[in-house]
Amino acid sequence: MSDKRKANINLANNASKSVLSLTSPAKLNVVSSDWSKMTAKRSANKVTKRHLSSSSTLSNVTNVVSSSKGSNNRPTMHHVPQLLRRSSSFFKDDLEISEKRPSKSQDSDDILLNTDRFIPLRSEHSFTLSKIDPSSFEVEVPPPNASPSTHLRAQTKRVFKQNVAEACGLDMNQRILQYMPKPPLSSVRKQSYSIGNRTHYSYSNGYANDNRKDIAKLRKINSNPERILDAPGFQDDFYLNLVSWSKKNILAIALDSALYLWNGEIGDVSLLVEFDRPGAIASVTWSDDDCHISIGKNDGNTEIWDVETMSHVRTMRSGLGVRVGSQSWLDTLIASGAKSGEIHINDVRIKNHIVSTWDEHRGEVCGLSYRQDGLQLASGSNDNTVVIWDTRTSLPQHIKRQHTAAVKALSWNPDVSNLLATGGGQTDKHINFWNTTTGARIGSINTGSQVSSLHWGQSYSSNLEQREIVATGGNPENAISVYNYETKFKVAEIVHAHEARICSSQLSPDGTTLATVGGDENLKFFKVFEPRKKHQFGVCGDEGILGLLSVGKNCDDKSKRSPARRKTSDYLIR
Amino acid sequence: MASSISLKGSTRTVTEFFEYSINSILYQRAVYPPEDFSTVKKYDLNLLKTHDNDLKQYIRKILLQVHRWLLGGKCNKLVLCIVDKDTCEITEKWEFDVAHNSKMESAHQEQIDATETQKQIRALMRQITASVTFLPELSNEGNYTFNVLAYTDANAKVPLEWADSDLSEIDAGEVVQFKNFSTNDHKISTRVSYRVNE
Repeated sequence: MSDKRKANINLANNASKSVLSLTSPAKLNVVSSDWSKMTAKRSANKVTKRHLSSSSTLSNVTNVVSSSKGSNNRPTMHHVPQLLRRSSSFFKDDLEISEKRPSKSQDSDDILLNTDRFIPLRSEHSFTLSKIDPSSFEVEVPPPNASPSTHLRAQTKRVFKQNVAEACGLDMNQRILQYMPKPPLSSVRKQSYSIGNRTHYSYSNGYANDNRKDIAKLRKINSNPERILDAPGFQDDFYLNLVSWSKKNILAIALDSALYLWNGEIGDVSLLVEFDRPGAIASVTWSDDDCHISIGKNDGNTEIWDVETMSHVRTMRSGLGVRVGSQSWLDTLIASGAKSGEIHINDVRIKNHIVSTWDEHRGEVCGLSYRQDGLQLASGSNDNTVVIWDTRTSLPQHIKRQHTAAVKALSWNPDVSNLLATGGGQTDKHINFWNTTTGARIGSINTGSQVSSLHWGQSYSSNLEQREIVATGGNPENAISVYNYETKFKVAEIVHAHEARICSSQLSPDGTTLATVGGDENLKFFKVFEPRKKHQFGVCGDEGILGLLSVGKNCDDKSKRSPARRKTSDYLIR
Repeated sequence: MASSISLKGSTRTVTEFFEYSINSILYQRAVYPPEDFSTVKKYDLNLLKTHDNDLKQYIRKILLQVHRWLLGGKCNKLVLCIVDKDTCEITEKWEFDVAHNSKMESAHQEQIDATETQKQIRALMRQITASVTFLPELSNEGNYTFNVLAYTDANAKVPLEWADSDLSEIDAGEVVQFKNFSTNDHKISTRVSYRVNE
């Protein structure tokens, strides 16, 4: 008997230690508060026990006791789970008391008393794995309209929690990680399927992208625009895409019924074309060769203009009679999205230019974007869906309905080819990140305002690349917000960048400056990202993986980094 | 000092094994066409290894990171899933459990001979090759792709290309356990689970 007690005391001693190690770091503070309650209860408990035999006046403290006292079928020792005894740290006290009254029935009473604690009866399984409910560890993300410093505080809190967990030597949840880039196609089918020569896999070797010491920093960006241009007559319509910036640093903008070209090098403006009907232009997009521009019009036609000669090249008729509000080029193909929901794939070289019609959307298609390698096309629509199309089969690969408003902002990550960011409109306010290979949503940010455009960029803190995404918004703050992709925290913000909502934005060819145009008929240029640096870590050499493991050879991977842009002479438009 | 060296050597053996086993599986299960592979002599066996540069780079990038995790003792499982391109469903799942001996009690830490390890790996590679006979045929050939999952500690450093994933279980699948092999610091156990054809 006494041996058994001793063993129990030992168990209890162990338990008091194991409480710490079994508790999640996220719950550490909870434990401490429970602790005080426990001690309070413990003292109450002592009182209860002393008066237990005489009356049940204290039964309000322990409900179970009174009920079980009345009934005969008391739970016996073996009904009490082993773990219950082990995990309760105040057994020791109970045992001490029961030692004073060594009777068998009293002993079982003690055990009974222990059952009335609010000790969670967890299964042995969950304890042995010492896993934490991941939901308990979720960090509450601050409200989207909070200032970057609030975000910083939340971030510091998370880092602190992690440090505490580490200091306690706790093993937190294990993570299941998937290598996101898509496996390459086999050599046989690569030849038949590759569209253009844009396929390039070059990923940052991200050695210390998640070095947490470096995350907790605010970015400083200039909240004053570098330049402001007047944009009189700019149509304040969320569903239109009226700005486009070419790789040759020429920005095309549609003002009312005219299309203007602004040269970023020298700053002069030229008028490309003026249509008769007011508001005739619904979308403007540069071709991949940066020599041609396609103009989607209100009557459903798409016109292609040559900017070298400033001349009209051809008109493609959709035959739908509704405006073409979004376009995306892929070599000689233009995907154009109509108000009625159809997406036409036009081949500009042939007479019957519509090579296929994709009819999946039930609302106006307001965002269209080809992936760099052309294997997928993302489309966002006023029916609140994002569709990721397989361009080889012309079938929707994934249809995503998580957004609750029109999806206009679409942006493919330049490094990870199957990472897509989409932003929802006024009632949605979220940015979602997708793995377009599996269709899984891999992240989400509440921005607190409609998302009219998204662009990927980067900054560097102590020479480590931070991948970031910039979103332009509308009411209430008309802000430009920069988020860190890894942490999903806001790292910089320009509030009231425009007096009215921001309708569109484009990133400059060097990826640093954002041109935004808003309902206030201004075109403003903000420097939001740092110029992209050459990546330090490259993998080269051909033979055997083991040769690379010991020495991290540096090699010049500039050729890999620079996107494989086609030469303009690669194709001709007739 | 000496132990750190042997840990490196052991991790190398494990990573090398992963490289050859992934190549073998991709060949045996015809995820990539046979033309992409050429025969190499390894573990006294004729194994097939891809000579397609893109695929080679792809596997290399994965394993470089896995190697880094293994060195830090952060990785405890590597999973190769064979996925149907049409349905995005996992048809086959090859799991390699990694147990770090250093984490276990050092009481029964007998030194394992390198040749013994090679022998065990050889037996395991033979089993993987032989598994084609009982695994269900992958209908419509060439319509499969693969992805790689790594089970790591939550505090492991994670590069941008790696993102959290779900368990990717196969419902009502069958599991076949293979032979194990162990090095001084690691113990690898392999098993395959697969969907049973109705």
